[in-house]
Amino acid sequence: MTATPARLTPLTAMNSQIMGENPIFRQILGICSALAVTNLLFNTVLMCMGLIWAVVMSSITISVMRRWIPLRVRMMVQVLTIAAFVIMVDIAMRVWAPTVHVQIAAYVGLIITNCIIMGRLEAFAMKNRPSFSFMDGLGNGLGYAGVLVAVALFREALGFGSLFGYPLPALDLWWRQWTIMVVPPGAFFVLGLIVWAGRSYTLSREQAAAGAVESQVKK
Amino acid sequence: MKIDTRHPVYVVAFAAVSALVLTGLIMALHAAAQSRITLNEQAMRQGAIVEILFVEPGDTPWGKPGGQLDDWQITQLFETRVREVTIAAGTEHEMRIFVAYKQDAPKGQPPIDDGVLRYAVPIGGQAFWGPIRGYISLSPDFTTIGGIVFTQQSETPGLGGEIMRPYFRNQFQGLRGTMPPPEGKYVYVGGPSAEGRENPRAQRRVDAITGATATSNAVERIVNNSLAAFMEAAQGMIRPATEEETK
Repeated sequence: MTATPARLTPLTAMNSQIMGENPIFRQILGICSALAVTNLLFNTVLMCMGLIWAVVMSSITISVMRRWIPLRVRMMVQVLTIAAFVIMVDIAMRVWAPTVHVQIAAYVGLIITNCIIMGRLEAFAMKNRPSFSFMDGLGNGLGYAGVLVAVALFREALGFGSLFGYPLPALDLWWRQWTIMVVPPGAFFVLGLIVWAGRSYTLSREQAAAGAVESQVKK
Repeated sequence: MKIDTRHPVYVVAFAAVSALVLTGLIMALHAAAQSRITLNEQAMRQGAIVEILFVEPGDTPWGKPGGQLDDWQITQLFETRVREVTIAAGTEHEMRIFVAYKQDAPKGQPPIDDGVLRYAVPIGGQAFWGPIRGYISLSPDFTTIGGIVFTQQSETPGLGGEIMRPYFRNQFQGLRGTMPPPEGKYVYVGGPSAEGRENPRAQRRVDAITGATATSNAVERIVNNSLAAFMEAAQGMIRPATEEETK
C-alpha cells in the first residue's frame, strides 16, 4: 500500500519540489547548466538567481493566462514568456552589472532552454492557480539552486582552491589542483554523488512514511 | 460569454497578440535601458584602454596607474589625453588605434609625434568558443609592450576565461614589441622558457593557462597576427626599432 498524497497547498507545492521532486536529483532536468556553470560559485549563484526569477515569473504569467491559452499554441506562448523574462535578466545585468555580464552572458541566454522551466509550465502552471504556481516555481528554483551550489562548492574548492574567488586557508599544506573539477566532466562525478545521496535520503523518507501509514492501517 | 479557445481564428489571434505584447514589452525595456547600456559599454571600453595606455603611476595626474582610476578619472583622462587615430588611411592596412599623449592631446585627429606616451592597438580573432577582442599597447618606438586587455571573450569560465585575470595579462607588460627575427613570433604563449638574450623567445614568452591550451594558442595567434597587421599599417608612421637596436 502506498502513502496517501498530502492535500496540495502552496507550501506543499513548494516543499515537494525542493526535496521530494527535486528537478536535478529526482527528475534529472537542467543537467546541461549544472555541468557548465558550476566550476565557480559566483557564476553559479548568478545563474541560479536568473533561473529562479525566470521560472517564478513565467509560472505566474502562464497560470494567470491558462484559461485563455489555446492548447495548440501553448508551447509557443510558454517559450515566448520564458524568453521575455530571461531577456529581462540579460538587460538588467547589462545595466547594473556590466562587468559580470561580460563573463556569463553566454549562460544567461541558455536559461531559455532550461527544461525545468518549460516542464513546470507544462506540468503545473497550466493547471493550477497563480499562488500555487508561484510557490511551485520558487520550489523548483530553490531545489535547482541548492544542488548547483553544492556541486560548485566542491568544484571550486578542489579545482581552484578557493570559494567565491577567496583562497581557502593553508592551501600549500593540503591542496593540489584537480584539473578535472574545472572542466565540465568533473561535474558528472560530483553530480553523480549528490544524486546518489539525495535519492537515498528521499527514498528512506518515503519508505519511513509508507511504513507509518501501514502501521496506522493495521491498528 | 464562453470563449472557444479551439477556434482557428482565436488560436491565430492569441498567438499573434501574445507575440506582439511580449516582444513589444522587451523592445520597450531595451529602448529604455539603451542609453545606460551604451554608457556602460563605453565606460568599460575606455577603462580597458586607459588601463593599458597609462601603465605607470607617473603616467596619470593622480599618481596611480590607469587600472586603479575611478570612472570619473578614466573619463577625464580619456577625453584630455587620448585620441582615436586612423593610420594607413585609404590603404588595405587601414586601422584605427588609440594614442595616449604625455600632456593634453591636441583636438581633432592630431599628428603622431614625440608627445606620444603609448599606442593601443586593437586585437581580435577566433578563439576556442568564440571571438576574442581587446587591445595591446606599445611604447612610442614600438620596442616594449605596455599591457594587454580583453573586452570580449566567451571562453570557459575558470579555464580559457582566465585570460581576463591580471595574473595572466600582467605577464605581457615589458615584453619586446619589436619585429621578431624571420620565422619568429612577437609573443610566445607557453612552450619552453627562454634562456639567454640570443634566444628568439627571450622577453617574448608568457606562461600559458593550464587546461586551456586551445585558448592560450588562440591568444598567441591573435596577438601575433594583430601586431603584424599593425606593423604593416604603421610603416611610414614611425620607424620601428630593429632587433639590433633593442639589444
